[in-house]
Amino acid sequence: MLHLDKMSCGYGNLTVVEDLSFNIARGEIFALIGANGAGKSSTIMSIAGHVQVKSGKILFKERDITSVPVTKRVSLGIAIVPEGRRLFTDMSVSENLAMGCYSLPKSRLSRNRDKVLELFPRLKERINQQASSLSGGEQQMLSIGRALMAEPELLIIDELSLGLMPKVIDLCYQAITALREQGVTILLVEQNTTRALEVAERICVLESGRDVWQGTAAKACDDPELIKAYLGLNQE
Amino acid sequence: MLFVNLCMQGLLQGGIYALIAIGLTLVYGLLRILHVAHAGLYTLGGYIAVIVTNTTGSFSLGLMTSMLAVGLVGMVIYRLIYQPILDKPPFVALIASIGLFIALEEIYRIIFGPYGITFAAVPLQGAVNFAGTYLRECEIAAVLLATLLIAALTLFTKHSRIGIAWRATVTDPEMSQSFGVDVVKVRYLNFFIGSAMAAGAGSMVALMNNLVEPTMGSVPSYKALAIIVLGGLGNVRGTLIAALVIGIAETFGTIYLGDYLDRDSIAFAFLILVLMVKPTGLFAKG
Repeated sequence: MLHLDKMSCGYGNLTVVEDLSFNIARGEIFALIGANGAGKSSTIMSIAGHVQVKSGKILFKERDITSVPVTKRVSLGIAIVPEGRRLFTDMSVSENLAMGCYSLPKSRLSRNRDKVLELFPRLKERINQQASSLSGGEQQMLSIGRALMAEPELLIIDELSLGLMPKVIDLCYQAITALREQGVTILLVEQNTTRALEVAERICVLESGRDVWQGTAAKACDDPELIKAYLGLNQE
Repeated sequence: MLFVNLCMQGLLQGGIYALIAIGLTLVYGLLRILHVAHAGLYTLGGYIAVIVTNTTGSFSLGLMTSMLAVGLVGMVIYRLIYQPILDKPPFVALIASIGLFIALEEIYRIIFGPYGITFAAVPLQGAVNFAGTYLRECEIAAVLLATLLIAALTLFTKHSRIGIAWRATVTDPEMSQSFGVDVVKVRYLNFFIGSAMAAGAGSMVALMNNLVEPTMGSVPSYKALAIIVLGGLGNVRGTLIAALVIGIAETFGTIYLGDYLDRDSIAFAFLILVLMVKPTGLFAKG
């Protein structure tokens, strides 16, 4: 589904991620793990088209999308749930969802909105409320819902659990699992390693812009050195 | 009766200010540029309305031609003046805008002469008794035009896909791009609508005063700046309310404070007072 081939990306003269390669299969949850500043967000923002790719390629459904403009990537099937949600705060829940569907024919709006509201019933109660008035958890649900309105084949999620209560994190991860069952491929960036390893099939560990480990989540959990050095998990 | 009369005059003046200031605040909201040259487009609107009306005998045609042509000029200004310097600090665009405004005034002076032009036969000058107050037809037309344009803008931004995308772009251009919005097209649309509204105001003021002169935009340029600061920079609803408040304050101030304050200084006295209490303006976001 998604293939990064020795991709380097960055801002101006600064290269943040160097020679990163990985494959994500259709219907898989793939997690990018690493400390702050490791290059996780830059990697996904380059896949979404916001960060300049300096060398290498990004292939999506076997098509080279490295130089496809950011506005066209959503039509190809890539949608993003950004870090910090970045909702259109002056707009209502309904309008935010409509924005998610902007690249699709208007006729799909109602059907997609019903699907999102089925996944997150709490948004139904808030449908005419301004996005800025929602709680953190509701905002994250809206951010995911907005991305789902675009009918993505690849859903990129940056820091799903950041700043949320454990109960809300559970709800969001339940939604992620449900989406996988519907066949949506998910690229997850997460500092909460425990949660990421629970849902992801495979992970890639980044450090200072380079990948230091790739493999299945199960294998990562069995590697004490990896756990100690990068994952910060309790080894009891 | 004087109270009602002053309220009507204030709303009329406020409506005209709103048409000018909304365009200015739209540009600020989207690009964070203080588009001072906007008032130059207001003057251009007046010139085109007078020339087309004198040529064809139809003010309606003059008004529509003026709004359409000035809307397009606004898009050209964005493309040639602002787009190349968007990545520069905001003061660069401000200096460019002030320079453009001065250049526009001088161009009008060279082309149309320093004394201004008038309608050959001034339309809509009959008096209408409105709740015991006599208003000229052109004044009623100005209020109707302001109401119509502002209502249309509100409906457009609330209920059309492009309008919602426009508001999303104002909030977060990068994210709106992620969902397929072409930000450059939104900017063109922004300049077209803002400039067309200023042209509408310029046409109506030309009609009410039966005069368009090169410096007609000078006072509205700084007054519109005061209004958008009062309304909370980038806030359309706040700008509309601030424009009406300033219009009414000026009309009442001229009668009751006229011995102490010039009419044009009232807006700034009001601005200073408000900023002393609320430095972000009356309706600032966040």
